Amino acid sequence: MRVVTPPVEDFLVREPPFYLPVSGEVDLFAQAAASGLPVLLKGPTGTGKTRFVTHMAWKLGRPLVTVACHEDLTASDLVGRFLILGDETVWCDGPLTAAVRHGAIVYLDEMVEARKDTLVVIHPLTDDRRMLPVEKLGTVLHAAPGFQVVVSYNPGYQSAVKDLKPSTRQRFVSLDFAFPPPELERRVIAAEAEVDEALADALVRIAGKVRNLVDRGLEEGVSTRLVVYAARLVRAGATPRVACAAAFTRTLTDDPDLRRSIEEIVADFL
Amino acid sequence: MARRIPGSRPPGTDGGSSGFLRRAARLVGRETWPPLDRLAALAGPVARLLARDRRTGMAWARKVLAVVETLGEDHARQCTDLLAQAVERDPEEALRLAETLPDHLACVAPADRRRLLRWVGWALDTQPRSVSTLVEHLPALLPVLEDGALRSFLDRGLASPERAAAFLRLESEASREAMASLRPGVALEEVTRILSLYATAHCGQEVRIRAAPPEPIGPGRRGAPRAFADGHDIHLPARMDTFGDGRDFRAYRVATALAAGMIEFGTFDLILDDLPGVWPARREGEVEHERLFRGLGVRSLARDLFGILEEARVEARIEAAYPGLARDLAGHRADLPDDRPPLTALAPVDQAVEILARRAWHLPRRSEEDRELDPGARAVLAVLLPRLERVRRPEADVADSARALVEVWPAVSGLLARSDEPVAGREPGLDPLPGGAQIRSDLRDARAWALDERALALVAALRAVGTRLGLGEARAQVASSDWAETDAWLAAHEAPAGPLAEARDEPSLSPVLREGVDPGHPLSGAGFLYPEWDHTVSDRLPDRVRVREYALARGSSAFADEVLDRRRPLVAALRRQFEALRPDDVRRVRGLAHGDELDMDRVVEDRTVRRAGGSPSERLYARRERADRSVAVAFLLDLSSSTNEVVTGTGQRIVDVEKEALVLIAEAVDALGDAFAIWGFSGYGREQVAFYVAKSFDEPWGPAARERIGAIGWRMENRDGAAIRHASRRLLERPARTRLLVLLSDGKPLDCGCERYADAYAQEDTRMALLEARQAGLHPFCITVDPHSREYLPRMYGASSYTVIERVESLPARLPAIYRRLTV
Repeated sequence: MRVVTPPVEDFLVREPPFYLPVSGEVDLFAQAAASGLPVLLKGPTGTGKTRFVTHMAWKLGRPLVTVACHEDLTASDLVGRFLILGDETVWCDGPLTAAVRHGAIVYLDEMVEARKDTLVVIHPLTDDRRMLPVEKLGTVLHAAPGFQVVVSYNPGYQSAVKDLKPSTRQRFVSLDFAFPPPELERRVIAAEAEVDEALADALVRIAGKVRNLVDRGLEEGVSTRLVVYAARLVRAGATPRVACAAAFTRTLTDDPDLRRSIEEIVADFL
Repeated sequence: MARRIPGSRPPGTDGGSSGFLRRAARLVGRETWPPLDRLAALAGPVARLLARDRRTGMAWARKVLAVVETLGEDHARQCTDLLAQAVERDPEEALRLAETLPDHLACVAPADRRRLLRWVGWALDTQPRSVSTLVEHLPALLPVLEDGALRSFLDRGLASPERAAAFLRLESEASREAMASLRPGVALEEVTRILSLYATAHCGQEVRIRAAPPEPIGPGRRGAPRAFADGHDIHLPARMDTFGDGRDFRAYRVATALAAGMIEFGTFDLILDDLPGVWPARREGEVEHERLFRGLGVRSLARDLFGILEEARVEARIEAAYPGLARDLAGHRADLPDDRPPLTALAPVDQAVEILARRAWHLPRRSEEDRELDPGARAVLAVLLPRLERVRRPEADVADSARALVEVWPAVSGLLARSDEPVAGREPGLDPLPGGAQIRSDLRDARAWALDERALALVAALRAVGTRLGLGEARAQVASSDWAETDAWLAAHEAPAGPLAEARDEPSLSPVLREGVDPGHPLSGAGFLYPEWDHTVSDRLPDRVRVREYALARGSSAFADEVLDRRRPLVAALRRQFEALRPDDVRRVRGLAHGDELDMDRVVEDRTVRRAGGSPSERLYARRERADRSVAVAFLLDLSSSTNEVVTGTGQRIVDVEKEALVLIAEAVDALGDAFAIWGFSGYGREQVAFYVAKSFDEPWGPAARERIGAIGWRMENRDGAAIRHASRRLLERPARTRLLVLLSDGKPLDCGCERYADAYAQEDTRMALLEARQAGLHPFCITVDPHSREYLPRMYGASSYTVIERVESLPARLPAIYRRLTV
């Protein structure tokens, strides 16, 4: 029987992704990778978790297999399944199996979105067994050197049902992600959107002020990603005010008072 | 007190005026009638009125002389004429008008009196039945509405006499809308939240917007709308109508920005003892700059100068940081009419202050400055203006403004001493500019004072051990109310080893931060006994609190019925939404070894595997299972006395808003089918924490539960820790996969029935109770209406386990949405 595994080239990160280290997370990740430890990335949306993993995969020269978790994700989706091609039955590796074979970093984005029974399959891969039983093939795969599980988690979702269980958390070493300090964020914006420092500075300071409104009607602050979006809109020709309205004000809230106050803050800087 | 009137013939119809007056005087019980000649011109009209309608005539005759004396003969005659018209149309209204018109007329500014009478005349022609109601409200309406706008307002309001009173009192929604649309300018209440969010974003701390006290009216004052910063809150005029168009909002905005800038750029961070010189000892409730003014002698003058310098300093910082705002500020100033007082109207020292202010505000130079300026003022300005430039430098801080004030003081006070003005009693001389901000610490509330006192004490305590700390930093430290962190922070900031090391044991440090330790004695006996966490000793105090459980007596279902009726569309929508969340009754479970039916997908897969030579699977069956959401939720209501407070703008008490929210969420959760309980707690002291059961898990949501919700009322204190521990116990008795404890709160945990249960102790105990609940597998969540809760909730509940409801009145609509997010 034929076994199809996506080639490792499909998962290699070719271009160096831009990433500015904030506080030692690069070293820590490299150390975890060298020790084969699974890593949990915690933090609100748009703070660079995915970018960080991509950067680390490139830096460590590892293939990167990304899985966006969702409610209907099954264990078969992760491990693989049989397909009938003509008169032939072919086994197709799922992303997790492929990663195990290639010694890749497997990145499970927004892990809590997946059902708990699905995630059980990664348990033997996250401890020192480092193995994946593939029941349908009747085999057990041992992870190739370099294989590492990385998951991300946004603690701000507030759902009691979708919380990460302590027993799951305990399997990872954790890295915190937050909005970078203004100086760093400014450099991120300038580099990501290719805008001048002055615009990047104004946008970052607007974002900083708006983040003061979290819990005062705003559910989440302006993410670094949104600041990048605003900067890119300006670069593409939008006026800063229009870009901020599109990327910040309208994205963040429907509350008219909040929108007005954010508009005024934007106006203060431009 | 109507007297019986002898005789039936109406008196004095023949124009014999003084004869009539004498008779009238006898009738109304006054034997001597003051200068009759002054009434001569009125005698005829009054007599005619008396002839037409005796009661109205008598009432008016009693008042008319006082009206002449206080409001003048003209107004008295006009009133008499109006009354004569009134009796023709509606005698009852006329009588009421005779009783009340003079008083209301006296209430309005002299310039508006003729206007008021004109409007009464208009009402007599068009709305005679509402005229007395109108008179009652005209004094309030005249100053705020122009005649045209007033006409539209009255046309809408007086159409129905029954509703006129409520309309004119601005109690009806329609009237408020009408008023808002007709008045020029912007009312503070329309923009309070926008400005508060705006200032909060700028300062990074909760900044409330409050209405400033009305401006004093005095000779020579133009009564410009004034804004004040007190270092915590911002006080704005209730209305901004300088321009009568969109620029009025800009005026609000620049005033808010300047006041917020004073917070952001440290106007209130002065520490006087850092300045050279000997300053008077601090009095309680005195901010540092006021202490400086007291030290200088003439406070009003010092306050003016310091205010100008600080405003200029902050403005320079704002201009550097916020280019857009700088443009708006300049645009605002340019649009203002140039109505500054002429220099000739000012004493020399006030001339100097005025010129300094004009320069600080970048107002254009006036030609009079060359002609009219007093030589003494000119000399003082030569000292003042370079200081103004100095405080505008980017590195200047509040101490530089204070230093500048101290340096110019000899020259300024010398000029004041040479002038004729009484030195000590100088009134605040500077007329403010609309859209500016003034420093006024006396408007602070108790909370702000307490915060500042603690911050100053912290600064002093640290200085005693040789560590310098800015007041702003200290304030942030104290406000965070995160005591464990403060302790750690203190430890890190304490003096390094060396000669000062002994000072670590200095007892003056701790009393600032915590009260003495009182171990208390364990309790025994009836009720539920719970431990309490004492963070000062990092240990549990066993059997420290007694919780007693009470089933609430059944009250009336009127409250719930009213809510369900008033909110009917919302209730229907909620029930629909939550029913949709109800999991499908049956769910197909696949991949079973035994089951009711074959799972065709699996069978095909299995066939494929077999053909490929793989190992066959046995899991080929599916079964239909009843789905189970398995959520149990308890709503725990804080019933402390503060929930008795009325929510501004709605007239509802906090506790009633919370009850309303409970009724709605109960409907929603009931539709969803989750098990739920409704509990409340209060009490007084550690011996008697009361736990009220409005609806238990086992009881259906029905009339009995609704009646008990109706019976919920505010009680005394809130000892959150004990209540959470008891609620956890009850909730843990409930088997469910997800167990949620939702606390509805309006403030910090506090039990005044015990000296210790406040601040850090109470918060740390609550935090520990929540930690215990979480460890037991519960999900605690706090919904609070306290705007300051961000200072303490993150530590107690964790960053993502609480929600602050900005506007209390929105709680009923928000709660179901929060619940849905929590459990789906």
